[in-house]
Formats: sequence, structure tokens, C-alpha cells
Amino acid sequence: MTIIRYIRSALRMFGAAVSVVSDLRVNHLPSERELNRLGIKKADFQAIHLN
Amino acid sequence: MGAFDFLLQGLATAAEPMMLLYALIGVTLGTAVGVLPGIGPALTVALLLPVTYRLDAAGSLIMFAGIYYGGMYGGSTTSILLNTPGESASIITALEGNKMARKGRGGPALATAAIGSFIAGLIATLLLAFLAPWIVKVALVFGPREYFALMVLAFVTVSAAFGDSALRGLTSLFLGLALACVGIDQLTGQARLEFGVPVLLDGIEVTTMAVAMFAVGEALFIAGQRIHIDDELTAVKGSIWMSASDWARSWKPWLRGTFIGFPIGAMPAGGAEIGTFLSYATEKKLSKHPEEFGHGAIEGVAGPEAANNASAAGTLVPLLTLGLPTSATAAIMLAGFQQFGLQPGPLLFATNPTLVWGLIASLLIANFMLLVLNLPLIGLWVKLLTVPKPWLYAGILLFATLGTIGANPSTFELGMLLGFGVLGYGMRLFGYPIAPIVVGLILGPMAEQHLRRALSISQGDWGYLVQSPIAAVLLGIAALALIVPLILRARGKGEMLSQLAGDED
Repeated sequence: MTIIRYIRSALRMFGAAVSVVSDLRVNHLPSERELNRLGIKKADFQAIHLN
Repeated sequence: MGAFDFLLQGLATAAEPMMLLYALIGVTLGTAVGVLPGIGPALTVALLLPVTYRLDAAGSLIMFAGIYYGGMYGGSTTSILLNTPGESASIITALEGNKMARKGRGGPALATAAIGSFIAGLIATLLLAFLAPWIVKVALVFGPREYFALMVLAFVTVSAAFGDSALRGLTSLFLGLALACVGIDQLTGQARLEFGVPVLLDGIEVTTMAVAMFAVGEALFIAGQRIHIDDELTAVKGSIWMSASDWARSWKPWLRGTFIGFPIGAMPAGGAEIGTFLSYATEKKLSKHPEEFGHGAIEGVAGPEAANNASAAGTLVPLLTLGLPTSATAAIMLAGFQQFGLQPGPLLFATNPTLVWGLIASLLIANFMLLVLNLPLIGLWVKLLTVPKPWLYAGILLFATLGTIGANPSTFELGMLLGFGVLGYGMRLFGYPIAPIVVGLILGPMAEQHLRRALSISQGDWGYLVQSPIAAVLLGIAALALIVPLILRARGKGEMLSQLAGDED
């Protein structure tokens, strides 16, 4: 069970990373849910100067 | 001879004074473009393609690889000191790095980024050196149908698999494939799509196309965006060196970041950014001080910086062993190989081992150079940001034009450069990825050649293409890469797959 949970957590993290990067590529702000999954606070992320 | 012996031979090549000079120029340029927001290694390598046309092949390729590595190093400086990532792969570095700088710990943040990049680059280059011969051995049994399947996989992953819109990615790809058909058919000698223009019989020059799309189009696009850096530079206070505690908290993230970034870099359309976000999330989960994340945790700089450098070496695995570009910079580097009449892939390891192993070994040397260049010269790199942007964009356009005219002195070539440059700008403006068009132009003729050879062998039987297990698996993966995102999009999860195909790093 622990292994399955670990794999699920890793896949969820991978999905969130893909989602965040995809949004950034089209100059969209990533969703709060996906950022939270990666342990990032939206306010902190918005403080970065993205061009 | 084993990989280690080849690597030693490569080191002897890469340590020649001229090669060292090429590597130094590459890493210096790479760091500079890494520091400057909006300008990436793909644009720089594209810009240098025509200039290096008549130079030494090994030296030029070593310089291109240096630019790629340098770009990954340089991006962290502005992330940490300005909270403005120089490269998309350094976005996550700004999150913790700038907080550290604001607390007066900019020195250790820059140091962990540079040393982490160095260690990751070193390990990833060794992984590349030891993995490459194994992949080459597998690839040597590939026939025309396996190569065709591999190219179909490359087309799909670069253009449609993670695209915001599969249609846009495929449109860009097919535009590239159509342009690849222009000129004389290599098998029959028949003229195709030349529209009565004799100059077009030679086909579309890949170098011109790459410069137009990545240098002219990108420069116009960035100039149009009006990037302003009005944030205050955070001064590096106190010691630049890391304390014992910083070392203890950094070494594990460096290693983990390397092993996350390397395979993701080697994955088609993976890019460097995914690895950095994954590394950050992993470090936060595993850290003994998770409460420090968001307030300047050194692990949040060490891991992602290692991941982005490891991904650069990862990208070179499919490029060198299979001739497959998995990112825009890799596609431009492939064009660089082709301008010297070289085709990356398993045969290159047999026919030109000095060049391949010299290139791999040069990455080790480039890493040392980058470590020396980055930490002591931070002040100089940051000063680059004061260069007025209009000068920079005008310089890029001038350099692109002069380079193209120098390599192919004709008004027609200049017209093509401007025409494709405007097309590239339009494509970026309307969200069409530009990597697939270049990949289509580069790999299109090879895919066509392999398909026609396979069909000649099978006497026109299309079923032959899926009768080999390797080809069938590769085509199956390509089909899944095309269909699964469509299903996910239909289920409303499409946003998570958008635009990765157009990875410009």
C-alpha cells in the first residue's frame, strides 16, 4: 500500500509540474491547486517577475 | 575500448588549446544569454549557426554545447539577485533564492546554485558518456522502418503530445515537412515545389530557417513584449561561501536534483523546467525544515539548479545517440551538426568518435570553466542587464542578417530570412510553437528517405512498418502520445499538457 501511495503521490506531483510549466509557456498564471501540490504558495509565485 | 577510454581520448581532444578557446567562448556567451531575460540558448546557437559555417566542426559544436550549459548556469544569477529569472528553467530558483538574498544570504544562494550546477553537470555528463554506448548498441540494429518509427515519435512528441493545441503543433510540423519537400527529390531527381524558381532547387537552407525562426522571430517577439526590469538589485552581503550547515543541507538536494533532471531532459518534450519544479516539490517533502520553504530554504535553490543543469546533459543523450532533438536548442544543435555534413546518431559514434567524445568530454571542461566564471564574476554578469534592450534586439537582427549573408551571399537568402522571420514572429504571436517547423524541416527528409526505403524493401506493403517489434512499440507510443492528450483535453485536463512541445530551451 505504501508503495502504491508513493507512486500515486509521485505521479500527482509530475502532473502538477507539467501543468504549471504548460501554463507558464502560454503566459498563464498556474492554478493555485497545482502550485499547492508542488508546495508553492501562489502569493510567493506571483512575486517572481516573469517576462 | 570502453566508455572510460573513449572519454579519456575525448578529454585529450577537448583539452587542445583551440578547443579550450571555443569552450570558453561558448560558456561565456551562454552565461551572458542566461543572465539576460527573454534571450535563451536556442536563439544564441541559431544566431551563431551561419557564423560558424566555415569554422572547425568540433570546435563549433563544443561552443554550442558550452552555450547550452552556460545558459543553464547564468539564469540563476538574476533569479537570486533580482527575482527575475533569466531562463524559464530558473523560475523556481527565484522562489527561495531571492528570499535568501533579501536576508543577506545571497552569497550562499549563488554558491549552492553554482556548485550544484557544477556537480549535476559533472554527474550528468558522466551518465551521458556511460549510457550513450549502450543506446548506440541498441540503435545499431535499427533498419529503415525503426528509424521511420523513431522519427514519427519525435514528430508527435515535439509537436502534439504536450501541446496547448495539437492542431497548432501539427500545423507547425506539417509546414516544416512541406518546406522540407522543396527542392530536388533525392531518390528520383525530380524537382518538387520549386515554383519555377531555380534557387529553390537546392531546397530551403536549414540554417537560414533556424536563424529566421529562433533569432529574427524571437527577437521581434521579445522586443514587442517590452520587458522592463525595474526591481532593485539585492546586493550580495557577507561571505559568498557556504557554511558547514549549508553544505550539509545542499549535497543531498544536488544529487536528487541530478537524478530527477537527467531523465526528464532526455524525455521527448520534457525540457528543463519540469525537473526543476519536481525537484523543488521533492525537497520540500523530504526536508527536515519544511517551514523554511517560502522564506529562503537553501534546499529549494540547490535541488532545482542541479536539476536544470542535469537536464541539459540529458537532452544530449537522444540527440547524440539517436539524432533526436527533444528541445528547441537540441533541434538547432542538430542543424549545427548537419551544416558540417554530420548526422548525429549511432553511426556518428563509429565514423567520427573523436568529435563525439571530444564534445562529451568538453562538457566536463565547460563545467569547470563555468564554476570559475560564475562565482567571482557575478558583478560583471549583473551589469549586462544595464545594456539598453533596443540595442540588444537591434544587435541580434544585425548579427542574424550579416551571418546569413556571410554564409549564403544572395538577396534571395536574405529575403527568405526576413520572410521566415516575420512568419516566426506571427507564429509566436498567435501561439503556434516554432520548434516543430524546424524539426519538420530537419528530420522530414530523413523520415521520407527511411519510409521510402522501407516501402521499397517491402515492395509497397505498409504492414511491413509495424512487423518489427521495435518499430511497432515506437509507433504505438507515438499513437498514445497523440491520443491520450486528446482524451485528457476532452475530460477538461488539457491545460496540463499545453505548449510543452514548443519548449524553447
